[in-house]
Amino acid sequence: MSIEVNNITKTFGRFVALDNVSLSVPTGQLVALLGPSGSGKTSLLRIIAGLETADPGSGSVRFHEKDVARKPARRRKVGFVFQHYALFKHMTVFQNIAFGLTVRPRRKRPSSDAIREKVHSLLKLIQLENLADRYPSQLSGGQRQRVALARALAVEPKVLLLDEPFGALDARVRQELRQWLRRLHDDIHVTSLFVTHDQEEALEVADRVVVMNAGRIEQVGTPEEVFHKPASEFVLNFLGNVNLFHGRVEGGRAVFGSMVLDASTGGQADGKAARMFVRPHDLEILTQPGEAAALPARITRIQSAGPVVKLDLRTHDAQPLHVEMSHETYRQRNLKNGDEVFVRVKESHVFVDESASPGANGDARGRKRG
Amino acid sequence: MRTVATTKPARRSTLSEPVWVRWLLIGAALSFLGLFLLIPLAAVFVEAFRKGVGAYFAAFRDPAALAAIKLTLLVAAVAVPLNCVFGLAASWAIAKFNFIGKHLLITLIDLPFAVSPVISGLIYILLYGLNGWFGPWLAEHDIQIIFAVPGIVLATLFVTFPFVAREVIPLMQAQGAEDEEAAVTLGASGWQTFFRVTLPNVKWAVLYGVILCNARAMGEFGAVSVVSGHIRGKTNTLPLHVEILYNEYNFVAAFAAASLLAILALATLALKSFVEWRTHRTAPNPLEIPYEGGPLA
Repeated sequence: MSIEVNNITKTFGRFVALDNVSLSVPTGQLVALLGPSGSGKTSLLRIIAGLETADPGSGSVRFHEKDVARKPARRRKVGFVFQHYALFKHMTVFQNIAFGLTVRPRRKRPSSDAIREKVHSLLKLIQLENLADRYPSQLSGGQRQRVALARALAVEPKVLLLDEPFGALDARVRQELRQWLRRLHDDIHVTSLFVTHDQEEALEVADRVVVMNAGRIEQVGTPEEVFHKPASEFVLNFLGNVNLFHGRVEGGRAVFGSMVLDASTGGQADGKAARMFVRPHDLEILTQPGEAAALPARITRIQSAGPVVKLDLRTHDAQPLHVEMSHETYRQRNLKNGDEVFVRVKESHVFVDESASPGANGDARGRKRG
Repeated sequence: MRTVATTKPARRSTLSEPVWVRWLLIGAALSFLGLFLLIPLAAVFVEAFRKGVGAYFAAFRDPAALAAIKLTLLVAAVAVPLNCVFGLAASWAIAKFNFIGKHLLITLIDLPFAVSPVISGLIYILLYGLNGWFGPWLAEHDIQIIFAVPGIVLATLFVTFPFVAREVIPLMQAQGAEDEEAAVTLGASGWQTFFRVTLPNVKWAVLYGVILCNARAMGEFGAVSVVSGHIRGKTNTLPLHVEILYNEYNFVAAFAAASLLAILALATLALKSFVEWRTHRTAPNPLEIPYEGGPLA
């Protein structure tokens, strides 16, 4: 079942949580709503679930082409998973999972045998078969969230909505659980939308990522698209670390100190401020000044414990730089703390100020391959 | 099992008072407790049994005493359930919804605690008394509220109004609405959500409130005294009965009746401790949760 959200606005007093947001989630996809806190992602999820109502007069929420605005949450057939599990404390794991089936009106309620069978198949799915009689307080965080997921799935929802499902778990369990969620989704293919502020989680798990900021959608795309072709400075900044260079447009090109990029700056006037963002792994460290466009800098810190080697550098005008490289390259270059080196930009994203030039394409994106 | 040795740090002298200060403080607290709580409590029973067990039980064979006990039970039996329902409804409304006048309602719930019980009684005289606002209309229809059982029930209701609500509101607010939201998304109706999720979550707080409400309902003197009219055998509750007997110098009977209220108080305390113990037991320490999941296959 697909979800379409059209022109939804939600305000809390004077705070605009959602500003005319439209979104469509195709059937069977696992989509991440990614953004910082206060970006409106949870409000959007709750409006889709029917737990919150959009401002009167704003757009519609449709499930499979049908407007659900008049349907209360209990009739929308959504499974909702909360950050803090919201398991019923006074019920066992079994009773929690069976809850959605036992509250059905008598003529629609499955027999107790059927319920038992269903619950046990779900317990098997979440790999907690032997914990059916435990109470939530006797489970770990990861186990509780799996029970919450099973409880949501028990009513066979058409849509699964997860609000920061791994937010309250520690790093290791979190990673385990999100990979498990991905495999689970590949098995059951229920249209799923999950909210997260963790870019790594969104990029790793989702088919599509919706990046939100200040009540608006900044970009929708596959993890590859949002990571490699960010539509805005916000998306670029939010999806991982970046180095920022300030420069300006000169003669149709973006100039950053000694570096000149043949950026297609969209015909911006000379003198406009330009910003270049470079991810730490898109900077290369050279021991010799091979090209003109290399920046002299000094290594101030090397951190080689981890999958990649992280280096902190400082340019001669005291700008800090962060560089990441493979262990192999690190050994080849024979780098040491305090070394004077040259930094080359392999790939960058250039944004030119649009504020002073109405009508121009502000998101002029320069991509230069080295 | 983990085998981490937990060494207790030695008692730091900077954080502990000298021995004589400790004993002085403990002694002061204990003698205060004895002087103002234990001795009066003991005195009630000593005075009640001063003329022997026979005289003690004879005090309850008096029809006026029996009527007072009956009336006290009746008043509690009406007031406690009504205030329990009201308290739950108010808590539910306050904790789970936002509406205009919410803060006013929270403040109003506390009003009976802020007003002197005598004033509470007088309010009802002014409303329903013969010369009160509704007095003439009530007299015309031959309905008696003041100096009769309905007045006593009303006054008791007013005075015991806040007990359940005050216990339940903070708990419901702390719990938030997530459990209810989960129930609703699973297809539960409003009543199913209330009876299967909300009520079990607050049952110990409700019970705690009910116990305190009951103790106050049976023990209330001021408000009830104003509206009752002290008609022996008809509108006397147990506390009023004690006063009458005492004024008649019938000390043994007075203290015998008082001992019933004292027993009620002790039973209330015991129940209250039990409920508190249960409440703590049902909220386990999150640090003691074992992780038994193992890696996900």
